[in-house]
Amino acid sequence: MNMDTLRDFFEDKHREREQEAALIPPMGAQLAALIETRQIARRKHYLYWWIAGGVVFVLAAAGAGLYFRTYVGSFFARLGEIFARITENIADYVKTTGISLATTVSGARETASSGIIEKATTEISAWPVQVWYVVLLAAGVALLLGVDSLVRHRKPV
Amino acid sequence: MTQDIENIQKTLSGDARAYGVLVDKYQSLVFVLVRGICKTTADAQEVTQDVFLKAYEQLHTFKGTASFRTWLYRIAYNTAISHIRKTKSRGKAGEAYMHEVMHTASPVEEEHDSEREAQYDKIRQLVEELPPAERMLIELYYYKELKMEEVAYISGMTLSNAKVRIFRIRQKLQEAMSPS
Repeated sequence: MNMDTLRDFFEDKHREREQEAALIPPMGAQLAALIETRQIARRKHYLYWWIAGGVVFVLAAAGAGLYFRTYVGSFFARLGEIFARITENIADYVKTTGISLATTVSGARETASSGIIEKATTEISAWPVQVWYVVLLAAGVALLLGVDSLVRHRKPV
Repeated sequence: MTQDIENIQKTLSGDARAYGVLVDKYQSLVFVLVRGICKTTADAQEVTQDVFLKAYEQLHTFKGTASFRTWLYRIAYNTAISHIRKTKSRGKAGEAYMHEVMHTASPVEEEHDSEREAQYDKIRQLVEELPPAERMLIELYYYKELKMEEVAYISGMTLSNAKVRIFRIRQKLQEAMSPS
């Protein structure tokens, strides 16, 4: 046998299969319908998991909070002190640096704008630690979802 | 090619019908490639469908460095190898090529060239005995539309490695066919 026989064999085989392929009805529409059905099922599946996960998380958090309420109280008090200190420092920094910069750049005097900043920083520094906890958690989740969405919907170059 | 990219982008935006257009365009090419490792036409159709479903799942990973056709062949290559392994483990392997002979060769053809048919039978048997990856590699090599670079990409090998592997497979087949 020479290489030509091998080539002839495969070429004949491919030719036969091409004839066979020509007889097969197009499967595009059928496959598109199947994909759409699967997508709907998957979306439902994800939704159920999110709801179930959320409920379990809330229940577990509430249960843990109740069980460890003595520790949780002191822990949150400690955490609250730390956050209060940080927000106070930020507020002081914004008050001193931010206002002086704004007045230097604009040439304006310390007027209503300083009042707004002062109010905002006082408001933020007065937030309880639980609010910070939720804000940071929401920001983290939003960040993860954003990255996930970017990766999933990446367009071909 | 630009039409393909357009359809891919539409598919990624959630338009499944655009993917249907791509399927219609490439189904014959994929079918021809996977048919060789399937026992029946229905089996081949099922594997072809699997290939397109897998391609849909992985479509977001298509970067456009190779053509969509070549990228699709790569998925077909891997799916076909998995299929061979699965059918072998189920003990269904064997007769795929023999079945194809019975399916496709008419008695008239057999009378016309019995010597050639005997050679073809022998080749079928030898190809059947090759490991799945080698079997697919030789199929790709003789697939007229593919360049050697594409064969290497599809099989996930370097160009030189693919060349060496194919050379060895051809040599093995030739030696097995030569009268001792």
